[in-house]
This record gives sequence, structure tokens and C-alpha cells, in this order.
Amino acid sequence: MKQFTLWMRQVMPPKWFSLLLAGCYFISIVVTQFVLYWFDLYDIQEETGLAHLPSFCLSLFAMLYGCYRCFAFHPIYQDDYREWLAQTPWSYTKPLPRGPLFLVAQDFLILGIISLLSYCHSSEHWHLTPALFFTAHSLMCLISFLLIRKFRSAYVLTFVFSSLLYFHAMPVLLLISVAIMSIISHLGLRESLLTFDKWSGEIPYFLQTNNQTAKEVARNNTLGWPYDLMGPVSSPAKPNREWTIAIALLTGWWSFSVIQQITDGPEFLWLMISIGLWVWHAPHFLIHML
Amino acid sequence: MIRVENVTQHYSVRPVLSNISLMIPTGSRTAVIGPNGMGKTTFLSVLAGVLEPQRGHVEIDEIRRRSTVENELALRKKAVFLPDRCYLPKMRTGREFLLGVGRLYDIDELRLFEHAQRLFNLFNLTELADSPISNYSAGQQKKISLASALITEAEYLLLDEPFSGGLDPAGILALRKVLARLSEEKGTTIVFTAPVPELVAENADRLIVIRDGQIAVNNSIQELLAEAGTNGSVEQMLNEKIFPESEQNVSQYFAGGVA
Repeated sequence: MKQFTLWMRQVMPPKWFSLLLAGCYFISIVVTQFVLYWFDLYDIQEETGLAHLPSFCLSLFAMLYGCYRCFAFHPIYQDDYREWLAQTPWSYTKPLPRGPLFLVAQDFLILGIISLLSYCHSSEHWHLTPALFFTAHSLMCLISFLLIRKFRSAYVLTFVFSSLLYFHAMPVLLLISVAIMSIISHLGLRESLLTFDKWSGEIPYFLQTNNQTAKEVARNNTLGWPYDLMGPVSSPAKPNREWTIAIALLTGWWSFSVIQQITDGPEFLWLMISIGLWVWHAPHFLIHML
Repeated sequence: MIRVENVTQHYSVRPVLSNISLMIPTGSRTAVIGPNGMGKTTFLSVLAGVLEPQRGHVEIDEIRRRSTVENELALRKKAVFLPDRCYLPKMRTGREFLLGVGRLYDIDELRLFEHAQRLFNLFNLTELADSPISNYSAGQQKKISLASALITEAEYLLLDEPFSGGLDPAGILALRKVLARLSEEKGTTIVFTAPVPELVAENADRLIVIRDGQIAVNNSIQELLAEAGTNGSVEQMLNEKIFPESEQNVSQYFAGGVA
């Protein structure tokens, strides 16, 4: 038992957090049963939505756990950890001392238990629990890719995210999309860790001068007020054509995915109009934001 | 051997280290002392490669720090830096942390397990070995961070204030003896900072004093003692060299009208 506890502890959230969520889950069961009994609503419990309350709690837990698994273990989100790690001879082939960043057997065990409980409460919507876990985890991965400037992984992941909207009512297709999304997240994480020494710029961490030096260099290069106004002004970076088209496709696809959720009509036409509009207006501001 | 060549490091316009050059022999135990804010930690950070000096460079075993990624990774394996407040993963147990650190330094698994247990015994942490670090007191956290430096089996230990941070007398005694034996038996080079001279005489065989960005003293303790003559104690001699104005400040304080 002790071995199992130690094994599970590698990925488990803090005890107070797990207890809080378990408490919410049990309270939701008690409240649901009490209301159903008190107002005699057993016959119409599906219509009232009360039957889904415990399942909702489990989905919420799955979502928070998905976020936690990336946020608590990814060095990009933990400044002290990242700085310490950068002073050690850590490289991608060695395990991360804080705990595994990639999903491991313990995660699937926890997710399996939550999904099983969810199925017991609602056999129709149980698939939303694992889907929310992987979506939340991938979302945190996506943010990490943007912070590390791994735009290719972020782009592909954003593209796949929209398919969740499209397939949300089709369990099998939704779970396939989620699986694809998780594979992309995994590959993106792998790529990020492989280039750990270059997170703070194109020059490897080991060869950079310290921040103080960089700041001083920057200061020495300025003319000082008010002469800065006479100095050369750096023009905003021009987005290249490939990225403009890629962003247009992405925003077009997202627009289409959202529009087709709220309107009925010729879907293909909506897609073409959305992409066409975005390509036409070349969304420079989006590229500048990146 | 650690070689420091013409190192200059300054924060903004305040120079902390000015054109410092020195050598630290292999297998020595060197204490770096000096008044607060005079650059002890900066000096150690430059040795550790955490800071890149504005001028000059540091070499360890003739490999220049921060020269290439491969060299720097090799040096990080060889020279371990333990800051005053070391990062500790609070949700992991002490044992998990030590094993994790050992794996970073490619220590053989069997030796690693056995060494971790010996370190827990050394610092009286055996009962807490499998508890999360968040349950440790400040002194126990200091002990586990010291253990994390020792488990690396590195040839160079760069320790910032290893004797402070709530370490109990048993911990201080254990650390002193371990550092002495590592240096004598395994030839480990140890460089540590200390806030007070009292810790120097028994724990170091060399002394570096940094004052006003310069090396005021860089010598072996034996030679310094010989220089001071037989009349004065080591502490007295160090106090005169490091804090020459302290006696005067105390006199001025009481002369200022204390009843």
C-alpha cells in the first residue's frame, strides 16, 4: 500500500485540493438525492438536470486535474524550478526532478476512475469527462508553446481545438479528436523540452550574458531623451505570406466552426466566406500579437 | 583548479567585483568572507557560471565557463552550486528529490539509493525521508538542500552560506566533518561563503576576503596565522582584516551618550 501511495504521489495534486474536490462531489450527490426525495422529482430527474450535477462535478475535477498536470510540472510555469534546472546538467534524456511532465500510467488510472464514476451517473455524457481532461491539459500545453515561441505546435493544436466544437455531440469522433490533440500536445512538449536551453532566446541559455549586461547594452545603445526621437525607428515586423495565409485559414476555420454551431445553412459556403474574408483582410494584427 | 581571470562584475553603476584574478587549488577548502553586500554571493555565482561577468572569465580544470553548450554542461556536472536559498520541490519527498538530483548527475542507481540513505542518516532526516518537503522545518530544508549538493558527488562544491539557514549544531558538526573528509580523502574542492570569521578557522584551509570589489586577502590560513604572529587568535586577526572599522564604530556608539 505504501508503495502504491508513493507511486500515485508522483502526479497527485496537493491533499487539500483532492479532498476539496472529493468533498464537492459527495455534497453534490447528497444535495441531488435530498432534492429529488424532498420534492419527489425522481420521475423527471433527467428533465430537471439534477441527475447531472455529480457528473458535472467529476468533469470539473477532470478539467482542473488536466490543467494541474501541465501547470505544476512544466518548468515554463514554475520560475524557481526553471531557474534551478537551468543551473544543473539536465537534458531531455533525463527525468524531470519535480515529476513527470508527460502523461503517465497514474494519470490514466485517475482518469479511468473519474470516467467510470461519471458513467455511473450519466451514461449519455460520460465521454465529456475524459474529453475535458485532455482538452484542459492541451490548453495548458498550448499556452506553454506560445510562451516558448513554439508557434508551429501551437498552430496545429489550435486548429484541432476547433474540431472539438464540431464533434462535441458525437462521442466517438470527439474522442478521436481528443486523441489526436493529445498526440500533438505530446510531440509539442517533447520539442519544447529538447530545446530547453533556448527558451529565453535563440542563443542557448549557457552562452547568454546575464540580464544586467543585456539591460546595460540596451541602455548604451539608446541616445537618451529627447535624442531618441531623432534615432532610427524600427519598423514593425512585416508578416510573411505563409504565416498570413496560415492565420487566415485558422481564423476562417474557427469562424466556420462557431458559425455552424449557431446557424443552419450551407456549411461549405460559410467556410469559404470565412476563409475568404480573413485572407482578404490579411490579419496583420494577429501576427503582431504573436 | 579554479582560475579567475580579470573578472569585473557590476550591477548598474555599482561595481561589485573589479578586475579580480586568483586561483583556487584543487582539493582546498576555501572560505569567502567579507562585509554584507560586498560581493561574496556574486563571486560564487560567477564561479558557478550563473552570472556571466562583464569582463574576464572563469576556468575550471582549464575549461572556460560558458564557452560552449557542451563545455558548460560538462562543468555543471563537475561543479555544483548551492545557493543560500536553494529551490526545493515542496510536494516531493526528501528521498524523491535526492534521487531526482542524483539522476541529473548520472549517478549509478544502486549507489544513488545507498548514498541517499546515508545522507538521511547523516543529517538525522531518516524519519522524514518519505515525507513531503513541505513538512520539513527551515533547518531540515537546509539539510536536504545540502544533501542535494552532496549526492551529486561533484568534484567542486560551491556553497553559498552552507552553515546558516537554521542548521542545528548537529547539522553544522556533520557538515563540517563531511566537508573536511571530502576535501582530504576525495580531493573535492570546496568554496563556501561565510558571514562570520568564527566559521572559517575550523572549516577552511584557505581564505579569500572581498572588500570594496577587490580581493583584500587570498592566502592559506596557515600563512595568515604566521603573518599575524603567535599573539593573536585567528578570529582576532580576521576581524582586523575584514571589519577594521567595527571596533571604532562600537566606541563611537557608546561615546554618543549611552547612559
